[in-house]
Amino acid sequence: MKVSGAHIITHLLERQGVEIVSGIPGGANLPLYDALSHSRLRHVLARHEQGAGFIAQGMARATGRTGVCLGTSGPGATNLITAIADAKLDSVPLVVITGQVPRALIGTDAFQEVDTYGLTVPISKHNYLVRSASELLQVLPKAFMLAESGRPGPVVVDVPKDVQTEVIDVTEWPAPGAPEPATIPSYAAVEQFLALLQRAERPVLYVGGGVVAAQAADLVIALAERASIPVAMTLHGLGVFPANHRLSLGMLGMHGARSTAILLDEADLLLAIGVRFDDRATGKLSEFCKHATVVHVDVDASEIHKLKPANLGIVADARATLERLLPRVSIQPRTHWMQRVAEVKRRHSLPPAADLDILNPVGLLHALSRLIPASSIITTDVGQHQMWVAQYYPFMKPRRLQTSGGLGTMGFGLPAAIGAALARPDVPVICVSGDGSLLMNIQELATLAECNANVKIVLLNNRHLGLVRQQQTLFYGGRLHASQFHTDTDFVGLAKAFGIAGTELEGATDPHAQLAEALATPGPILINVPIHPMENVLPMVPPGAANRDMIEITQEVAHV
Amino acid sequence: MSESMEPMSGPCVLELLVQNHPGVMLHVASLFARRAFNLEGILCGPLKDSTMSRMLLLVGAQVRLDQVVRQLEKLHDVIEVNQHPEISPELFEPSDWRIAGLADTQRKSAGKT
Repeated sequence: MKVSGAHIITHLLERQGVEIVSGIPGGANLPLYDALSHSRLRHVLARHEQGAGFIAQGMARATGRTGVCLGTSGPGATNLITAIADAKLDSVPLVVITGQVPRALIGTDAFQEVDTYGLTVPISKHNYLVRSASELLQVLPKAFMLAESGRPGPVVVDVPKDVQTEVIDVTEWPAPGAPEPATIPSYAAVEQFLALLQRAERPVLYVGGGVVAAQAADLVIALAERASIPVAMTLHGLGVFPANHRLSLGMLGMHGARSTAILLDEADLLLAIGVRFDDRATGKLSEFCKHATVVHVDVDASEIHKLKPANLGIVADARATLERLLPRVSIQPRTHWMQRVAEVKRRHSLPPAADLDILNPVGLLHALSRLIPASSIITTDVGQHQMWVAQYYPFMKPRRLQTSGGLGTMGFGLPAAIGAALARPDVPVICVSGDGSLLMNIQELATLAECNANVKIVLLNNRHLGLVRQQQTLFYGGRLHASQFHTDTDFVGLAKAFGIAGTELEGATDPHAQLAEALATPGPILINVPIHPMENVLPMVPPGAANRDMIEITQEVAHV
Repeated sequence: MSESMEPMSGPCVLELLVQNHPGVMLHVASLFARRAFNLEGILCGPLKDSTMSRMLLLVGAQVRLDQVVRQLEKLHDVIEVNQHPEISPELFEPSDWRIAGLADTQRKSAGKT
C-alpha cells in the first residue's frame, strides 16, 4: 500500500491508541495536518505551542499514558521547548512531533528553520531527526516505548516536510510501542531492605512521583500501616498517601510543616522511594535526615547516590520492589515511635484552615475541598497559590494534582487543566492559579472556550508576583521591586471576552455561596478571588538552610 | 553538591560503544556540558561492517566518576560504557600526534582571536 510519511504518522498514532493530539499547524507540518484531516484522531487547536505542549502534558499526567503534541518548524519548535523541558524534569511521557524544513534546505538558514534536534538534546529523554519516510516505521513506535519505559519522559521526533510528503510502499505495519517490562529488584536487595526495616526503631517513608508512575500507592499504604511508618511526600508524591491518614506527614521541604521536618530529623531509617532528593524537598542536604540509614529505591540508576549517598540503593520499579517486600514484612506496632509521631503532629502541624475566612487563600482552599468531589483533578500554576494547595488541599489519591514541580513553569495550570479535562471528562478539573501565572498562557482561554471543557479556574488574585514579593519581604530587606502589578486587570471581563463565564468574589455579599454556585455551573468558568497581597506562605525554609531552620508564622515579624 | 566522601579521581579514559548516527557525538558532549562534568578529549570512529562506533573519552579530574558513567548509560544511543584504568591519558596528548600537515596547527590557530 502506497502511503505518505504524514499518513504513516497519523496511522501509527491511531494504532498506538492515541485519541487526542494538541498542536498548531504551520508551513513545515501542513502535510501532517492534511493527513490528520482524514484520520480518526481528534485535534485540539492550541493558541500557542507552549499551550499545546501543556495540554498534552495534562492528558499524560491524568492518565499515565503518553501525550502527543504537534508544532511546526522554527518558532513552533522553540515555543514547545518549555513544555518539553518541563516534562523532562517532572518525568511526564510525551511524544512531540515537529515539522522541519525540507531535507535539502537543512543547514541553509531557511525560513522558519531552527536546529530542533540540537535544541532538544539536553531537555528530552531522547530525540530523532527523521531522514526518510520508512524510518518513521521504526522511530514512532520506539518513541512511545521510550516515553513510557522506566522513568518516563518526553521524546521529540523532528520530521522534515519532504519526509512527510515522501510516498513509500508499506506492506506491514509495526507493532505499537509498548513500555519495557518493569525492572525487578534482586532477591538480595529485598532481603537487605527487610533486615534494615526490622532493625529500625524510627523509620520514615519519603515517597514521590516514582510511586505514582509505578502505580504503587496502594502498596505504600499497606507497607506504612503494616510496619507503622509515617509517610512524607514530595510535591509530586501528594496523593500517594491519603492526607487525612494518621501516618501522613504531608509534603516535606521548603514549605512543609515543622512536624514533618522534626520527624525526618529524628528518623533512624529513611525509605526513599521514587524520589530524587530535590533541594526544595531536602533543604541543606548535609543536614537532611542526618541520623538515618538511607534506602533509596528508584528506577533511574543515576538517581541513586546522585545527591545523597544511600546505604542501600535499589535500581528497580517501586511497585515491583514493594510487591516482593510486602508479603515478608511482619506487623510491627512500634508503639513508642507512633506515640512520638502523634505527639509531634499534634504540636507542630500546620495551623488549621477550618476557621479562616474564604477570602484568605488557605480558607478558600479548605472551602473548595468541601465543595468538590474527592475525585476532582487540581492543576496549579507556580507560586504562592501552588504551595498553599500543596500544604492545604487534602489529596486522597494519586494523579489528582498536576503541577510543574521541577521546572516550576508559570503558565502551566490552564493548558494542563484543558488536557486533564479532555482526558478525564468524567471528573471536575479545577485550575488554581495566580494572577501572575495565568497571564503567561492566557491565550489558552480561547482553546478552553472552543472545546468547552469542564475547567473551573480559581484565580487567587493578589496583584503581585506573590512568591517573589514574599522573598523580597523576607530575604531582601523588604525592598519590593518589579513584583507588584500596577494595572488592575479585569479577569472576569477578560474571560468574558474569550467567551467564558466569570464570577467576581470581590465585594460579594456571600462569597461562599457564589463560589459554590460557580463550581456547580456546567462548563468553564473563571472565579476571581481577591486575596491580601501581603499574605505569606509559611512555614518557609530560607533557600540553602536546613529544613529545621524554618520561618514560622510567629517568627515572621522578626524577619521582616 | 555531593556530600560523598569519595576522593577526586584523576583523569581517566572511558570507552563507549555507541550507535553510529549523526547526533550521537552531540548527545555525549552535551551531557558533559550540562552536568558540569569535565571532558578533555574525544577520539571516535566507526566500527567496520557495523552500525556502531567506538568512542574514547578523556574524562578530567572528577569527583563523581560513577555519576558520569551512570548518566552516559542513560543515553539511548550509548550501548556500553567501560572504564579503562590501563589506558594512559597520554593517548590524547596533541603534541604526540605524528600526522602529516598537523605540525603548524597551533601557530595557525593562534592568529584567530
